[in-house]
Amino acid sequence: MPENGLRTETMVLNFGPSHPATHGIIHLKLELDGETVVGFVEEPTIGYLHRGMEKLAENMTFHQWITMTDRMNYVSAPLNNIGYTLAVEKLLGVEAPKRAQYIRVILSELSRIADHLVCVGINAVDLGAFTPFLWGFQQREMIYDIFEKYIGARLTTTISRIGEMRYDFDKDIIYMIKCVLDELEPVIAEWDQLLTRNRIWIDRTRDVGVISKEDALDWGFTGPCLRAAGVPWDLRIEEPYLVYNELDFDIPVGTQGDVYDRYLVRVEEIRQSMKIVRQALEKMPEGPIRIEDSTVVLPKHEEIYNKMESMIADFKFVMHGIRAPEGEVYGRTEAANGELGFYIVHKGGRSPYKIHVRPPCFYLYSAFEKLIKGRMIADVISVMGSLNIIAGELDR
Amino acid sequence: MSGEHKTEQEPREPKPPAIAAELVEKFGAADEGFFRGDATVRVPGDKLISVFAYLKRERKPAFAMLVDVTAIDLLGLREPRFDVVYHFLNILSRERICIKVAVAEGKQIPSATAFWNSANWAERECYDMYGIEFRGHPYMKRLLMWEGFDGWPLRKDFPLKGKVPPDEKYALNDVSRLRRL
Repeated sequence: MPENGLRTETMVLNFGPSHPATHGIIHLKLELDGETVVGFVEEPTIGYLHRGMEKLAENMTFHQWITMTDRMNYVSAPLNNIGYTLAVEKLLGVEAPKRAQYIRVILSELSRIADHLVCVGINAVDLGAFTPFLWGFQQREMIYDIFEKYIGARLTTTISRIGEMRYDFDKDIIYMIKCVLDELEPVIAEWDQLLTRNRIWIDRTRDVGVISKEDALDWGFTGPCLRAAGVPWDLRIEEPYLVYNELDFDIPVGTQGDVYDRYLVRVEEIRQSMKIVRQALEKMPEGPIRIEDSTVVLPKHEEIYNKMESMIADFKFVMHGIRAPEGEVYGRTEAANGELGFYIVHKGGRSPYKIHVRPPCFYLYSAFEKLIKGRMIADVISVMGSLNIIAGELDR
Repeated sequence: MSGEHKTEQEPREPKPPAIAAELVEKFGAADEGFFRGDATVRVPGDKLISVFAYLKRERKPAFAMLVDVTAIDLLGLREPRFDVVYHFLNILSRERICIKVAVAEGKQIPSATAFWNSANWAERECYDMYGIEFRGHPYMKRLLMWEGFDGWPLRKDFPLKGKVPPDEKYALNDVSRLRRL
């Protein structure tokens, strides 16, 4: 009790469920002492966007559930689609042809760029810098135009199929990709000028939300947040999938593990992804984009409409699904936020027995209290933006 | 095509990680096989804590990451009913191991939160979806479903369309009632 006899007490602040800075529906109950966050009154409430996708998977075919993966991390849906189809291919023991793998790499990296553009852009908007967001969002739209041109959808892409890519890259798409890369270069340079040495940005992000190497591993951090803490772990290099071992790129690593480092890591990852896309476009071999195995891959469109056998096969596929061997696999890929895992248990039949998704931001968010304890209320926004919490992925 | 520089690392036949054999030898775990490059071992329930301690503290290099916790409901296929599945990652030796433990319905299982903080929410989600309680967890409450939700959604005997709430007043899906209003 202070000397003048006035009583002081902490204040409970409800942050969310619907708040512009939560980027989804997330409810925090913060205990404040003045402007300092003492801690959480109780654990944060999540699950407002829970749609029971894992339950649905047990009643769908393997192909049908690809559409569900669009709705998890909706900022970078192609990464989810490709991650899931790779997990199913792992269960089946098949591998898509080289050209299809190159197409997947290019689309993955483009959507990684889009995800990082949005993440850093929105993080900056939350802290009052509007311009980087607009700069980045324009480029993101151009990347979405590529997806639209390729598959017809922008957000819910369903871009990848099991054992194949549905469409080949034509000249137009390759031209569009090259245009985006060329236009992205100056944007990233301008971001650098706008933010990297910006006094306000540095004050708001330096030494905010710090996590050490050991703690980051302990809390299950993956992706840019783990690398910002100084752990050089990237599944694209450590456990190479697709054709990443044929491409030359670096993984940026931070030193402090704060919000500023996460920003720097993400921006550098955009540059590295651009490098990967350029190389992949150059190295992409000619050849088929689907495996010639009619028990795994859906028939081509023109065959479905012109051949009786293909139509029957298509019907059987849609109704009964593919015949996968019994077994369990944990397929993992490096999504924009970190390790995206699909644990598939199959016991024969039309549907998987169980699919469990390991969403990267679930684990990032579980450490949220640790990151903001003892910090100012304004830092909550800064840290939340840097973790890139996507409610669709968090709640599934 | 471009095959000049990758000759030395090309023959990468996947091998089971060393940890699988170690767990079999030290804790009497059953080797569940090596499928598509992932090793799985089944650990007896009473040895689980010592396995955690071994993975995190005694083993060099230690398994710094608990990547994922989930469960499988084997209703009608096997007794005990559930399998709790842990995925561990060792970033130093690049080993991954999947550990399974059988749990009967209504029985508790020791929590891994004392060893890995990432177990906190993962185990809560597992409890939320399957009703498996983790002994020693600091906050064993529902995570994705709301407090007071009846049933365990990912159990095989939970209906896909959900249960009808006992109190009709809260029946959100009752369209006919809305039309009358």
